[in-house]
Amino acid sequence: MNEHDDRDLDPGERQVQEALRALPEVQADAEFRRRLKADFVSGAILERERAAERSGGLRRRPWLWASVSAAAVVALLLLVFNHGPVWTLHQVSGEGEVLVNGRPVPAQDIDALNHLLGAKVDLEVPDGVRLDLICPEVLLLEVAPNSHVVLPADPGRLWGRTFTSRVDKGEIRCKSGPEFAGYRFLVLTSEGRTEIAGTTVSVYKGDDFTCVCVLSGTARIGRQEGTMQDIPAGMRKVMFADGRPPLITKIAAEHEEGLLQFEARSQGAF
Amino acid sequence: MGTGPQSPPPGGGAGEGSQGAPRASLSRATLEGVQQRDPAALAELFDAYFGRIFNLAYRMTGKRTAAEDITQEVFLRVYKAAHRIDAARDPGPWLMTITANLCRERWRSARERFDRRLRSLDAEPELAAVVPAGGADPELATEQQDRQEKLMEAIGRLAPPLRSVVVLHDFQGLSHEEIAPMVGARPAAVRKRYSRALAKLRDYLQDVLK
Repeated sequence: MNEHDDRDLDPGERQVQEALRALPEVQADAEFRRRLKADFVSGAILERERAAERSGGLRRRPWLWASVSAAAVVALLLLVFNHGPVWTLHQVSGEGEVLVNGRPVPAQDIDALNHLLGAKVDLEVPDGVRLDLICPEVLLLEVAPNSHVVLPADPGRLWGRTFTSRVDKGEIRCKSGPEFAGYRFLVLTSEGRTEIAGTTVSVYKGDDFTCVCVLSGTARIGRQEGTMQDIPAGMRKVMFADGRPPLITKIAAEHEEGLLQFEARSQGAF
Repeated sequence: MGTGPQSPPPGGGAGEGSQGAPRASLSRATLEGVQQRDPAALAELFDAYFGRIFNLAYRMTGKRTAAEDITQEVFLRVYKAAHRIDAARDPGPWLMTITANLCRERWRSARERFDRRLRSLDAEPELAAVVPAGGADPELATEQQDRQEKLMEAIGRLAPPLRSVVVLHDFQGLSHEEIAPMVGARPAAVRKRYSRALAKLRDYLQDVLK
């Protein structure tokens, strides 16, 4: 130490300096010193560092743990809260074998159907069998005889409020429930898409056309997102696979009858 | 930390009276052994500098666990950079620079800010461990302990740039010329900081120094 450094100290400062320098030396913990020396001399200090890195940086950063945990809890709560109503079997009529994701199930085996039916299931219903599925308070969905459809996902409360079904063959009928507001149900066929919001609608997929009949409310129907057209109650729109212009006319009597029966059945569903 | 092995000027020759291990430099042969990571040479280096490094870290952080963490990190860095050590120079200034930088890094870290908030809610029990137990006069021992705790508390209240200068000068025995490259300031600035630090300590310690 250079005494010149301290030449200009006043008596008070010098008193402080003397007090500081009189502080006793701090002794490290003997075991810590012994272990560190052994690790340093042997090179194990490197291995100790690698082990600490392997054990994860999170453990050495408690605030990071806290942030990650809090984020995980929030995400979990959101997931739980977002979980909305789920699709369940409402009614079955007729006899035959239903294919659920390719697996044959007797239509009268309600337990098996209840177990297997759910979101995004590929469902083939034979001639003579009709299934009604319900998403409680949101939507009732009938899969008519001789139909092949993919069921929609379970709708969420906060996100995932658009749910989509696909009709490859046959007909579905749907009616929105009291809690439908804010949801958006899309039905896709190879000819176009139908957007349903607060209506009773049937979508029939023929070999080379799709016919959408609107019994009540309105439905937006079109080949794709940009060409959607509002179709009012009492009307139907037919879209053709061969590119012909779509046809908009009054609902055919047989379709109207089917929808009226469906609506009558739905009275006690919600 | 952008400091390579022994990048500070080879000051080395601070006088006796500082805390920690003796200030004697290691021989060139020993430092060449350190370059080869020879166990005997590493042991000699450890014994020569462990005390100084630990004391510097303790005085800078005021916490035993923090001092242990920093001391361990210093020796880890020394081991990794051993082959680059200049056998012609005293490694002391380099080691002290690493230690001081690690203390500053720790002070700035989120963890340390978190710990400081916690400490502000409680007393600092570790300070008592500095004072050797026992003694002929328990009353005198208690009085000394109280005085030492107040001194350490006062040092802890200094802003890190001021505290660094006081610890390096008064506990490590380094001159202002030696401290300057370690803290990235000119010697005149170090002298000013030291003077300001003593003035603040004098205010903090008015009752103790009567």
